[in-house]
Amino acid sequence: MNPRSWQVLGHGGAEVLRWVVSLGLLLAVWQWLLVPHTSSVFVAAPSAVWRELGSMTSDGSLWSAVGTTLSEALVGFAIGLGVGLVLALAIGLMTPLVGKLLEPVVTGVYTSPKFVLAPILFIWFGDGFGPRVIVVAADVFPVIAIYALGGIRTVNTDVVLALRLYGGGWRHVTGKVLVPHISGDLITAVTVALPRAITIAIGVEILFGTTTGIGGLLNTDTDLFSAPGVWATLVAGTVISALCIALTQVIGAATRRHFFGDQAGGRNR
Amino acid sequence: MIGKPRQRVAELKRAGTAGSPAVPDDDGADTTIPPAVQLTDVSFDYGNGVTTLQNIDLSVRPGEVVVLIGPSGCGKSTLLDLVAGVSAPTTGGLLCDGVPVRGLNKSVTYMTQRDTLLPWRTALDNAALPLEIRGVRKAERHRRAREALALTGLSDAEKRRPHQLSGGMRSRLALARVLLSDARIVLMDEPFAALDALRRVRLQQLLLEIWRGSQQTLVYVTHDLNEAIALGDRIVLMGSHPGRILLERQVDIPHPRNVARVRTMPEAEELYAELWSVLESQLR
Amino acid sequence: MTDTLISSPAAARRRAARWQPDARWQNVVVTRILFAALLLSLWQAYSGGKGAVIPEVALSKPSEIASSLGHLIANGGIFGALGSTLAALALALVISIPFAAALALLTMTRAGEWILGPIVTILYAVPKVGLITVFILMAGFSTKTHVLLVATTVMFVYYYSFQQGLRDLDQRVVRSLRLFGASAPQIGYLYVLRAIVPNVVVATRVAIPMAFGFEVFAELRVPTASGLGVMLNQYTQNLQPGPAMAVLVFIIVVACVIDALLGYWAARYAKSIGVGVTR
Repeated sequence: MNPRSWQVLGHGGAEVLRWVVSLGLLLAVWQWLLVPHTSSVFVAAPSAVWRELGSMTSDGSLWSAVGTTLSEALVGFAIGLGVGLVLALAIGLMTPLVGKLLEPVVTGVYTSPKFVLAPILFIWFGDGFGPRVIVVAADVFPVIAIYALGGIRTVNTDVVLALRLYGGGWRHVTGKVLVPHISGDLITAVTVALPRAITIAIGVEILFGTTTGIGGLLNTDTDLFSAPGVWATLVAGTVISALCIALTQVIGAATRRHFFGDQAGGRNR
Repeated sequence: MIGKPRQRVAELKRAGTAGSPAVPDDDGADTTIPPAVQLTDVSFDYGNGVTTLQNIDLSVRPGEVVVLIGPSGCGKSTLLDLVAGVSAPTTGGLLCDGVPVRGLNKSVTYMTQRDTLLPWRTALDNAALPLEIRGVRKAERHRRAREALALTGLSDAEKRRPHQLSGGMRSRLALARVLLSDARIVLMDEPFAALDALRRVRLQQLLLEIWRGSQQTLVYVTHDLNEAIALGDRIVLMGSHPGRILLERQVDIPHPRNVARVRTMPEAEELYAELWSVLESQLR
Repeated sequence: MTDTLISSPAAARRRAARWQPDARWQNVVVTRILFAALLLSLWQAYSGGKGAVIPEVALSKPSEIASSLGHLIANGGIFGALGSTLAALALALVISIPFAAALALLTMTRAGEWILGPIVTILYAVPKVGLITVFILMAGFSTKTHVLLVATTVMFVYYYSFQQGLRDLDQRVVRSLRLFGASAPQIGYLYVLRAIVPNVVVATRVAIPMAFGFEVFAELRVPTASGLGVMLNQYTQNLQPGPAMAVLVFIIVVACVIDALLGYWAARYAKSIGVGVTR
């Protein structure tokens, strides 16, 4: 591409063009390279996928599945956010004893594969909204806790001292120093945790062998050996996930601007 | 300080440049040998409308030490980039040993302020790098690298990695590596600027002692007038906005020079005063 | 120090005057062990048959879990399972790393980056757990399905890492090597390969735990002959909570050990090349 075409289209236009060309190439490779050389048992053609998506949207199965998965993800995320924050505050602000006891628990849960909870929870509660949310929350809370702890531990204690010397109490310290400071880390934590929440929700649905949610659709389509169904659901899942990632980036950038002005991603340490 | 550096360096050079064309003595003016570097009416801009270099005419004799000095932004580093073939002149001709420079100029070695040592290699292996690239066998290249390290006072540090060396030692290592490259022309862009004054003087002295034995051409960039007078056979003073040559002066101080004492010599003081007044007018 | 953030210095002083375990690591470990022992004894005490606070049918007694774990270790079954899981994991890594490297190299050209950028972003957004269904259709009930899933997931970690590493290459070093007369392959093995090792180390630090998690997931969904997830699935299907919890505990321990080892090696490597140590 020569430089002049950039100028003509403008930066935004150039990006749009780039995505169109790129996705066009992807579709072309899919249609003319992948489909002819692979079995239709596991690779569906774009046209078949499109048709499948059409029928899924018209009979509402797609919307209800997306709704189910998203609600599991969001509720689990909210719970994980709350628990993670409370833990971070407890570990960071209470006596060191509490921190030393709780922190290994947080790190341990963070490094463990969360999906192992699925079979156990299935035995206790069977399939249901609750167990799925529990697994999502179990994945989210350590992420939030670790990032928030990072923020709490790097608070500039000189600023806190100055505030206290001016007569500020804990309300002032929390509101004026702590919250803005850890908001940066929290935003990053949310951008990491929210897409994860969706992935976990889908994964749990798959493991529970359910028929509801995006994972449920995938299970049904696997049982039916329907490649178009699987691919259509995956495309839908990708769109949801991409929207979620984009949304969190936008919200993150806006919140950062609110707290830190125009500092490009920066904050005072 | 290092013991017969001239002969050692000459041996190193001979071993590396067997078969290269004859190079004249310092005082010889062999007219059949082309200048090591020749810029003819060279201009350069980065394409943004600001002229970085304008109408540069410069000729460097083989084996000469030419120092480019000037205020920031006068294009002296850009000039080195042109000679190295990193960029091409916008207009004008650039010849190296009589041959036009096209693409990266392999007869050049470029030593910059921030060294390009490989962090995972020992000092010995870093120094030996040019030999390794040329395919010299391990025993031989280690032998010659050890000699170069000895010349630069790094024998004790041979097994250390760059992050374990001080700034001065790293500069010396970079120098040792330059010695082992077979480049006929060495470009140095403020190589010792990041060092403290004492170390800088020591390294300048080292450079002079090593250079006496070698027959490489040296084009040296600095913003330090004392350094320029101490090191150079010829000083080229450049001005900025746009970058151009303001004047050239021979440095008539005989070799061997003592870098620390040079600045007290009357010839040096005279030269310093002259150059400084021109530089000063540039800085206003 | 941070505990004075929201309480007053006077309150902090009062707290400090009370008994605190001191910060020596031995005391910290002992405190943690005591705490864990306390929790375990409470669990053991309240666990029991029907009507107990913690019904055994759901969550076994710690003593039972311990003895199940003991059996599994003694008869070596669990190590065989571990071996299978790790083998699949290793195979997935071996497959995905070259792919990631090739892809990253492609994006080093202007055209490559322009075209591939959006494609990779889209592919990254695909919910990888969902891909297992495609791989089931493709490879059926076999370890191949596991390996495919893990490889796809891990590939992105390495891709981004390689890309970063290639972008961070010091062009002045490349230039000086070329001036010394190095050919492109020489620049590759003298500089590029070594320069991206830190990126590979960082990527591996993230990738292996991730791979372990996804491998266990794959084994739970597609239980093949052997594997930790397979074992867990087996015992839960047969309603044997004791052994199931034992396998669960083992999996968690393995995950933590892997993570700790990787962290240790990464830190040691960073130190050896003189970079500030980060975990």
